[in-house]
Amino acid sequence: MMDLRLGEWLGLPAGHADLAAFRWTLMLLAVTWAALSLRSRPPVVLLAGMVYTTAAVGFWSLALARPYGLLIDPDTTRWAAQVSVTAGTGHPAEGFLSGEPAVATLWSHLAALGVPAEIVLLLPSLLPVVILPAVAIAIWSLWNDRERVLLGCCLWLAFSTGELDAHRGVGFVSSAWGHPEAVLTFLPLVAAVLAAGRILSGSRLGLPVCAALVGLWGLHPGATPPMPLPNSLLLLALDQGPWLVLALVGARRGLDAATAASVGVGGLLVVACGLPLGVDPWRAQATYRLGLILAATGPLQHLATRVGEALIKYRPLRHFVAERVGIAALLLLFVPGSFLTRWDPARLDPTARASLEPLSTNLKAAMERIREETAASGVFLASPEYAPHVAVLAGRRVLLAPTLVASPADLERRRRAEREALSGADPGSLGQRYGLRYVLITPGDFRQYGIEDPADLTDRASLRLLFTARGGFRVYEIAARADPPTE
Amino acid sequence: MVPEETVTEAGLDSLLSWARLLTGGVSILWILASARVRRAEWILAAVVSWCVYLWAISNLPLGRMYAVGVGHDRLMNLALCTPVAAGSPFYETYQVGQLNFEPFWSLFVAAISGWSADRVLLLYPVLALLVVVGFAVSFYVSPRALSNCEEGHWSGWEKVFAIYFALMFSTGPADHLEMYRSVWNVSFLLKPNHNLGLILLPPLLATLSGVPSWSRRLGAALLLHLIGWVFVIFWAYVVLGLLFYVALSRRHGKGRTAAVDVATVLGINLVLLSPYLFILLTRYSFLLHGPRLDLASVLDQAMTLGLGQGFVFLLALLGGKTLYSRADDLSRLWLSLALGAVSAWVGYMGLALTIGATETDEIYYFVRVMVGVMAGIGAWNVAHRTGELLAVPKDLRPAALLLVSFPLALPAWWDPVQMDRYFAGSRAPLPDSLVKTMSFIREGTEPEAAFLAVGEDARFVAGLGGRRVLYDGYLTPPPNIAERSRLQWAVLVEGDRAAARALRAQYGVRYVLISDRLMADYPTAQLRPFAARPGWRKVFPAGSIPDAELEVFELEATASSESAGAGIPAGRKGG
Repeated sequence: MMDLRLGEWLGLPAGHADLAAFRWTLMLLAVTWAALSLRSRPPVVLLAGMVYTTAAVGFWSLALARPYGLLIDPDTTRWAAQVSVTAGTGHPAEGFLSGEPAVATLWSHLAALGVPAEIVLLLPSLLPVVILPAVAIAIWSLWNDRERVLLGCCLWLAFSTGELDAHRGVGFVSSAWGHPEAVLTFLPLVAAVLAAGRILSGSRLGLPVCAALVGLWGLHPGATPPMPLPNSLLLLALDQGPWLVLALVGARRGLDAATAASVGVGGLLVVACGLPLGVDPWRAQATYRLGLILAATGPLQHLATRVGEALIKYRPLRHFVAERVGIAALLLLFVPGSFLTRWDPARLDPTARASLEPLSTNLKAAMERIREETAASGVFLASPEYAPHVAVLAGRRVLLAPTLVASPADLERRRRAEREALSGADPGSLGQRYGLRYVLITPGDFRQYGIEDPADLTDRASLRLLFTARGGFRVYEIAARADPPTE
Repeated sequence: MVPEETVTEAGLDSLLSWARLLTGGVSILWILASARVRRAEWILAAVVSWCVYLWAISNLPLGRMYAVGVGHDRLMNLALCTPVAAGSPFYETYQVGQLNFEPFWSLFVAAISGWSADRVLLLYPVLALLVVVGFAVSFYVSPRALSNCEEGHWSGWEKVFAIYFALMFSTGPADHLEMYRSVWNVSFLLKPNHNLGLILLPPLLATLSGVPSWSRRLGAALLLHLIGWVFVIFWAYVVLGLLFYVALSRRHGKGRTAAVDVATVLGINLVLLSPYLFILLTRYSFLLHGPRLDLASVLDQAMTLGLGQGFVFLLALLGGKTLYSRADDLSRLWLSLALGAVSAWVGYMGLALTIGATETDEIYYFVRVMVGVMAGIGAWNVAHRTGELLAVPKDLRPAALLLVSFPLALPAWWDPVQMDRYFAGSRAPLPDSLVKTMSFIREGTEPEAAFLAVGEDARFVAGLGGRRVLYDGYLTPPPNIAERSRLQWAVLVEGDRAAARALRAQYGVRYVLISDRLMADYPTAQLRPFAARPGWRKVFPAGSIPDAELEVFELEATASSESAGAGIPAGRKGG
C-alpha cells in the first residue's frame, strides 16, 4: 500500500503528538543552544541551532498524515497526479488526464527517472527540514563577512520566518510546503549569490552579478495570486518587525554585495508582489528576509559585544568571551518566543490542518487493488470526488477530473464517452480514443445518470465487475475491451 | 458604523492595510519628533493615539456593535446595563429578582448615559476605548510624575514605558491562535467592565505607598472596596498581592507598617464586602465546577505566559528585579501585585486541573498585563544601560527605545480581519427584524415590564431592548428557577392564564417574545396559536405579517396597563 506519511517511513506511530511537550522540548533546545553559544566552537553552535530548527520543522513534517495539500489543494494534487501516473504507467509524455500531454515538473522528471512515486511525493514535505539548515551551512561556508558569519547563521536559523510574514502566507518555513520547487532552488540561489559576492568582493561586478542572480530567481512566476499593493508595502516594512530597522542601521556602515543585492532586489520583488507582474511573494520574501538578517548582523554584533562586555563583569560569566555572551543573551532573549517555537500549522493554515488528517484505510486499500489488478495503460472513469484519488494513489489515468482540470478542450466528447460507458453501451471509438477501460463507482456516484446503487452497473451489458472493496468501492471493466486483469 | 454593503471584504482588507501603513509612518515621525520634544507626555499621547487607532479599526468598519451576538460576553454585559439605564434596579441582573455580582458597571454605564437605554447603545462601543485610555492616564498620574529626569524612580518616562508595554505588548502576534486568544480584543475591547478595575489599581497603590496615616489607609480601603464592586476577581488578585507586599516589606524593615496598612485595608474591606463575598462564594463561586483543563493545556499556558512571550517575559524579569532592588513602597507594591497575579494563576491552574475552576481566562489576561507593566520597567532599565554602553545621549534614549520596539508593538501588526473573530462576526448588521423589535421594546413597553424570552433572544431583549427577562438559561440561574421554569412552561405550552397572572404578579412579566428559538425550545407551544389564546394580545409587529421572525405578545393585559401604554407607538395599539 502506498505510504504517504513521512512518519511511517521512520517507523513512528500515527496520531497527533503532545503539542505542549513538543513546545517545551523546543524551548529546552533553544536554551541549550544559547548555553552552547557561550563557549563551544562555532560549528557546535551551528549544529545546536540546526538541531533546534530540525526539531521545530521536522516535528510538523512528520506529523503530516499525507504530503502537504495532497488531495486538498488542486495545484499540489495536479503535480502529484502527474508524478503517480508517470511512475505508474511508465509513459512520462502522457498526462494524468487521458489524451492530454503531461505537464512536466521537476517532480515528474524524477518519477520518469525511476524514483518511486511515494518518495517523490514525500520529498516536498522534507524540503523545509533540510533547506533551512542547508542555507545556514551555505552562509557559514560562503558568506564574505567571516567575522559575522556565526551570528548570521544563528539569526537565519531562528528568524527566517516571523509571525507576520507567516500570517500573510509567505513565511519561509510556514509556506515552504506549498512552494516545493522554489524551496529546492533557493539553496543553489543562496550558494551562488554568496559565492559570487565572495569571489567578486572588491570588484564592481559583485553587486550587479548578485542582483541579477536574485532577480532572475525571484522573477520566476509563482502560482500564488498577487497581493494587494498595501499588503506588499506592509510586507516590505512593518511585517519585517525589527529586521528592517536593524538592516537600515547596518546599511549605514556598508553592506557586502550579496547582502545588498538580497535586500535591494528582494525589497523590489516584495513591492512587485503588489503589482500584476506574477512575482511569487514567497520567493520575494525569502530573499528579502535573508538580506535583512545578514544586514542586521552588523548592529547586532556590535550590540551583542557591548552587552557581553557588560555581562562578563558578573562572576558566573567572567571566563567567557564578551561577544559570545552577547550572542547567547540574544538567543536566550528571542529564540524561546520566536515563531518556530510557537508554530502550529494546524491553527495557522487550513491546508496544513487538512493534511494532518490521514486518508481512509478503505480508500487506500481500494486504490492499492486498482494498482495491482488493473492494466497500467487502462484509463478510469471515476466520479469527480474520486478521480484525483485514482490518479494520485493508484497511478492510473482518468477520463475526467473536473476538480483538477475544469474544462479540457474536448469536454463534451469526454462527457459523451462517460455517458455511454455508464449506460452500458459500448463506448466504441470514443472509448478507444481515450483508452477508457475501467469504471470506479462508490455509493452516491453518477446519480445524474440514474444510478442509484453501484450494483446497478452489474446489469449493464458491456460492464463486468472486476472487484469490490470495503467502503463500497466497485471497479468494473468495460467488457468490449476486456483483457486479462494485469498486463 | 459602516453598513456592510458599502465596504467589501477585499476593500476592507485594503483599507485596513493602508490605515496600518499610515499609522506606521505617522508613528515613526512622532517617535522621531519625541527626540526633540523630550517630554514623557508626548509619548503618552502616542500610546493613547495608538489605542484610538486600534479601537477605530476594530469598531468603525462594523455593521453592528462590536461582538454583539458573537459569543456571549458582549451581549450579556450589555444586558446587565441597558435595563438599569431604562430604570431597573442596578443591583439586579437582567433576570428579574437576581442580585448582580458586578453592580458597579451597570450603575456606571447607566449614570454616564443619563439613564437612557438609547444612549447606552450609542456609548457602549466607546467605553472600551475610554477604559483603556483611562488606565493609561490613571497610571501616569498616580502618583503624579515625579519628574522628567530619567534616573528618578517612577519618573514620567518609566511610567509611560510601563503603560506602553502593558497595553501594546500584552498581546503577541500569534496569541489569537492560542486558547485564550489575544488580550487586546478579548479583554480590552470586549470587557471594559472588568478593565475598569485596572483604572483603579494605580491610585490604590499610590495611596498605599504614601506616608503612613489612617486617612491614607481609609482611602486605600475605599478604593480597594470599589475594585471589589467593579470586578471582584481583580479584588482577589490585589488582596493576594498585598500579602506579598507585607512579606517583601520585611526586607526593608517596613514589615510592621506594611502589615498594619494591609490589615487595616483588608479589615475594612471584609466588613464592607462580607455580605457581597458571601453571596458570591455561595452563588457564583469560582469554585463552581467547569470543564477541567488537562495538564498539557496548563503546561502550554505556562509557556505562553513565560518564555513563550520571549523578550517581553525576560524584560519583565528584569523589571521585577529592578523593582525588587528599590526601597520605595510603590515599587514594592507593583512587584507584589505582579507576584500576587502569578500566584493566583498557579492556584487557578491547580484548581482547573483538579476540580475545573471557572474564569481561568481572567487571571491569564491579568498576568499578561502585569507582565507588560514589569516589562516596561525592565525595558526602560535596558534602554538606560544600553544607552550608556552605546553612548546614546540620555535625551535620545526614550526615542531610541520606542523606535526599536515599535515594529513589534500592537499597532504595527494588529489585523482585526485575521486576528479577531469578534470583528469578523460583527461585520454583518443585526437582522432588521431584530433591530425593529428591540426598538419597539425600548419605546413601546413599560420600563419595569419583564419578558418571557429564551436563550440569546432573552439577552437581546435586555441588551438592546432594555427590559429584564424571567430567565435566559445562560446566566447563573436566578432564585426560584424551578418555579420560574414551571410557570414559563405553563404559559407557553399550556396557555395557563393563572400562571400568566402569577408571573405578572411575582416577577412583573408582561410580555412574551415569540421567536424561532422559542418555538424550537417549546415545540408543542405552537399547537395553540398565540394570537388566539385568551389573554394574549399581539403588540408587535402591527397587523398580520405572515412568518414574522419575532413577535411580541402582551400577557393578561389589564385596563391599567392599556392606559399606561397610551403614549406608545401606533404599532402597539394596533396589535
